[in-house]
Amino acid sequence: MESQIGIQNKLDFQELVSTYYQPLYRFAYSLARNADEASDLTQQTFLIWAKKGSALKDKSKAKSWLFTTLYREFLGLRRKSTRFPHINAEAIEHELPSISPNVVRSMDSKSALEALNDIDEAFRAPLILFYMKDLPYKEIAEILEIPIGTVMSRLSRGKAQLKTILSKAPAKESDFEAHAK
Amino acid sequence: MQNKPAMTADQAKYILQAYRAGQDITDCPEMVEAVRLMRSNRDLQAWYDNELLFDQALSAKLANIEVPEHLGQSILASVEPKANLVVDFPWWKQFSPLGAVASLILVIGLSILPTRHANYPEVATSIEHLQSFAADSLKTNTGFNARSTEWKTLVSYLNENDTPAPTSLPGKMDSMPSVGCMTLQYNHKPVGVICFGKNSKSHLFVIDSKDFPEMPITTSPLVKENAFASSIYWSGEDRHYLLVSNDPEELRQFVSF
Repeated sequence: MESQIGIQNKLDFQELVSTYYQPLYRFAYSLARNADEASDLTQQTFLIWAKKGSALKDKSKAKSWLFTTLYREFLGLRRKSTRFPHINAEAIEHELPSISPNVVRSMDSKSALEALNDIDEAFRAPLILFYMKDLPYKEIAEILEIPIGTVMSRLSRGKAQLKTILSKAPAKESDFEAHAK
Repeated sequence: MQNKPAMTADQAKYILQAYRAGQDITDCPEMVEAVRLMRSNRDLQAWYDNELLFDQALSAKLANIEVPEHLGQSILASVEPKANLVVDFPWWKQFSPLGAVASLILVIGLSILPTRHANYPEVATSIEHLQSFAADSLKTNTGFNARSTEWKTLVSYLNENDTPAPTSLPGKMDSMPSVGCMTLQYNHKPVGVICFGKNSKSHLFVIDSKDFPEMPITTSPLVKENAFASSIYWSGEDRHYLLVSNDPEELRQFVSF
């Protein structure tokens, strides 16, 4: 019986790794902007899961748990306070800079990440999570442990900053895709 | 009764920044209202469509981030064995009366195998020497260095501890549940042991052929049996193997060459 549970746990763990290591790595890379650090953060996240993941009763929360853990690890590495400056959810950006999607399309990934990196850190993580497909705002709120209203505010302000940055800096060619080679 | 003021297009834009089609928004009335407004306002809909294209373009850039090819495997290799492994498990926690009886029967059985040597010499030159060493080790050893039901996990442990480990197992033995492993010494040379089967009835001793140059090399397994024990000796690559068991039936079921 015990070995059957062990085998099941092993299969679960393998499935968890194969399902999430790529999006986690991309999240880590977007935050850290460094391939080695992103690999370390991803690996560390699964190490923490191996030690503590069994305590998570609701396994449907595994994805949020992994992203939250990675984000905390990143913050820990950066020695940043987890307490971000409070953003007033009522603050509305009335005048968003207009920017064509073609500007983004013509950029390479490195330039896009550089632009993301230039926005305030409080806005960066929600924006990265938002742009990683299939992460709805509710899940972003869970991962970053902030209210939904705050997610909306940070997405709105983050996008405004991003568009301002992109409108000022013309897209440039880069060999970003070679970073992992 | 005072009516709530209607949502403006700018307010809707603020909220729609977080909206993606297909999301469950039923528990967020502001989002429901913003989407309703968008559906009824062409300008707002056009703004959102353009916003969506912008978002999709950025999402595509993020999706282009290349993930190191072997990251998944290296995570599994570094995390998984540790998740299943218990190192230096105290002997009093692993005591099993059935296991103890099984080991005792095996030691007795090995000691009366026809080719038994009373004592093993400092330098092993024959299967019998190794067999005597195995019997003595099982009689005196107090516990595993690591436990796992996955023999490959134990192999990883032995490799990490510079102790000979099997590179492959014969027949269906790789489907036989393992129990634990031990790192032993024969004349200051490392000997790896992996224990298999219910109540740890079968034990695979592995030595490096470079450490024991006088041991016979045989790819055809040499089997010795009596009523209480079986031993099978064979060589492969740079290893010699001695599998001892007090369950010949189990051995026959799992081991074939």
